[in-house]
Amino acid sequence: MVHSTAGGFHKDCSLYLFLACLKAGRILLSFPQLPEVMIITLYGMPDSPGNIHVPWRPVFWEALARTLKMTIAIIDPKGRLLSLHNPLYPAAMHQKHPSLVAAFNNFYSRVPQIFAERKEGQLVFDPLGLPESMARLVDGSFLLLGGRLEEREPQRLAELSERLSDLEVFDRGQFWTQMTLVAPEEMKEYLAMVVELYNSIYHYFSKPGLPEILAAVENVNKLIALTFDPEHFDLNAIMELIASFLVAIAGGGSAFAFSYEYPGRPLTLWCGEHSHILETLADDWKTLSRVKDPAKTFDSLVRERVENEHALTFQGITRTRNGATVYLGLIGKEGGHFRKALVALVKKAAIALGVSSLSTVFQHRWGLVFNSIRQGIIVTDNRGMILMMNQGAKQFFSGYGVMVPAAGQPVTGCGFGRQIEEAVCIAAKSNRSFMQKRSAIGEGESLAHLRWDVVPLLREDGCSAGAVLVFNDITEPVKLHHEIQDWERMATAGEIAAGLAHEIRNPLATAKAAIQLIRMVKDQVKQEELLNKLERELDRMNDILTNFLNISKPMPEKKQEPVNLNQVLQELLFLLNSEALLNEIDLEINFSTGKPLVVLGSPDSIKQVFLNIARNAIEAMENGGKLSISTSLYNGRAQVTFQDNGPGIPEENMATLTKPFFTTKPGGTGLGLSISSSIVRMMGGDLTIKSSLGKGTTVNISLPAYEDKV
Amino acid sequence: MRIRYSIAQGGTERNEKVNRIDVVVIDDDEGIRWILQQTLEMGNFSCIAVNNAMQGINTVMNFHPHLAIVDIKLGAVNGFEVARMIRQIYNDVKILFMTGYREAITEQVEPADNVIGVLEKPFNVEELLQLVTKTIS
Repeated sequence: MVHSTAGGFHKDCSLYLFLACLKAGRILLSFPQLPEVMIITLYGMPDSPGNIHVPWRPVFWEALARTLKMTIAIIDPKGRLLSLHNPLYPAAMHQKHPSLVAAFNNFYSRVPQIFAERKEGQLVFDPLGLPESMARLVDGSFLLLGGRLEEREPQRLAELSERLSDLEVFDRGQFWTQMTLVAPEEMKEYLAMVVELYNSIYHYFSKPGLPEILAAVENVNKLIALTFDPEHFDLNAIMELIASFLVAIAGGGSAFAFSYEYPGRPLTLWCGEHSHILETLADDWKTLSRVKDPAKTFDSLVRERVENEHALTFQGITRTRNGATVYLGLIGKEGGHFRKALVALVKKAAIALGVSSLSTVFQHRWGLVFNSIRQGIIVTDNRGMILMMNQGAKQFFSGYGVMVPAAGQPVTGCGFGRQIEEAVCIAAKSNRSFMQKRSAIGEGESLAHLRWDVVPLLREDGCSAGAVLVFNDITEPVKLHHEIQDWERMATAGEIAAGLAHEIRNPLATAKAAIQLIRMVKDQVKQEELLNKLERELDRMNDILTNFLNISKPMPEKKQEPVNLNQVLQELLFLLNSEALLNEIDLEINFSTGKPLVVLGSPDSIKQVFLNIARNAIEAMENGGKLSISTSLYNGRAQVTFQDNGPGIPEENMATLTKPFFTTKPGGTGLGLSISSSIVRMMGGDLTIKSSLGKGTTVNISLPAYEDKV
Repeated sequence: MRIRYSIAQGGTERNEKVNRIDVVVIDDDEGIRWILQQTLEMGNFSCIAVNNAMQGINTVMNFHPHLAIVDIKLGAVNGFEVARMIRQIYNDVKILFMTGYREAITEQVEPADNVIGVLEKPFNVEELLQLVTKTIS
């Protein structure tokens, strides 16, 4: 068979390949069993074998119109409309709008005249201003194909809207949705194929031979190939076209086509009229559906009935492709040529069935995936109208007691708030994306926090065909986060208050007692001593408060300057050495070599930090030990490490180590490490503490190294 | 028997048999130690003040005081543990706990015979002296 046109087979193959990939990647774990048998049987009454008017049976054109998704009008040489085929447009409109009907009748009556003035294949514009392709058929009648519009021509759309107003058609919405838009050039191509098919069938009837029927079959194949497109694929349309074609070439009359799937599905009438033979076959099928090889049994049964009861020959052909089996049968007087048509079309039907089954499976699976995703997903067309939404989105709406918007409703006004709605409208029309956005929508009890993305639904040509909104309801996490923050704030406030109470009440108690004692003692020297103490205690209170305030603001107005850390340590060495000596501690210092270890900060603050940590280590090693201080430059960070082999820090204290007023030392303020930690943080560094009980503690300070730009 | 004790506490040598000391103060705050010492001495009570639990236990063991004033927050070892240890050494030593933050004391103050109460900072000097007088006499 020839697979020359429209790239349809290429798409067919790629769909299989895609599904195979999905399967290999274990995304789709298994395919449900595909329908095993599909039978199209054709039954023709050869009442008028030489009558060339037989092919114009409405079923044939109807099938063709559905396959092409176009309007087909047949007009006789006098301009009378013989038949109009398109279930959607504009037949429905005609009945409702008399002025539209009048305009079209006027147009049709002028077709022969228009054709006389123009060349074949040229476009004409109908009363709505939509392009139509026009051709004269072999028998002298005219074929009009079209009623569609170039999609990316906003001016044409505006004109159409205006014309509809003139013709008093006001319910435009339905009209738009019924439009399948196509470029005029494409339409001309379709027309050429349709005319070729028509003429080949016509030739077959005037000279019924093998080459003629094969030419006709090839033309049918070309038309079917047009629908092998993921967007337009329609098994029913293809089956109807095949069945109608066979009905036509079988000579019409009470011909019909039907199909069924194995096992146990009822018969489906594709094309033609019901007859007692169909009814009998349907009953036969029911009784046969459980036999081992139903197609074969059915074949012999039909052969027996048709050949004995109606003196007709029956031919049936089975073809299996990718697990789908088509059974195509034809009943008629002339067997030889039909058999060739059968052989050719059964292949195509098998492919169509296979694709349809796989795409049904795929859509089903995709639907499952789509609905299993917890995020809400809403897909809109390029006007921002909702095409579909998943379960997650529906649950979101019902969860907030909002009516779930229906498909076809605009996103605007759904309650997503201006920010999201605008993003959807922009993405639907352009190729702009909005990623990782957050919005709060609604108020009071129904306040919701959303994290969302809006991406355009890009077609192959790069234009936006719509938008996809993916959103996450983060209301609960946000609420929880706020609550935790509140708790933390309260807890920290409580800790600080407790710490302050401990620290302040000591000098306060001393001061108060001192005042009471001053009143009680008569000795002036003693009074003087108590007053001095009082003053010192008041100073202490002030110091505690100052220290406390410095935790949050450790370096008020100190100048930031490049500081060489090795140099700072060197300056502290004298002090640390003497403290280490007193406490029987070995002090080991390893300075980094090479590039100077420079950071940006205040030398005083850094000294304070180093001294603090070194003293902590020394004081921790009550029974002596070893303190190693080492510096290094690693990955653009200056590192200073204090390692002791003291008793270590119990696990339960680790979390609170750097909190204000935490101390295990008698007389300690619990502010040292807290202040050190915030100084390091202010300098853009980290202070990390690792400890293991009985082995010692390591404090690491990592600061961003300063690069001299000059 | 003569006992040597910490010079840092400014103590002198004493004869244990003759002098049971009146009060031992255990608090890590220098100001509190000083003012309590001043107060108690003004009330004519003998007093030793120390700054940590270990020294406190040692001093109690050596001087068998009538009363120990113990800060509840004492760093690594808290005041309750110190009180328990004191009771094991001499069960007739009365304990007066001291705290700067009563609200934060989660551990129940054990209702033991030797605990006479919790002194809250800041305290009233005269009330303290009355309490000490009542306890020791």
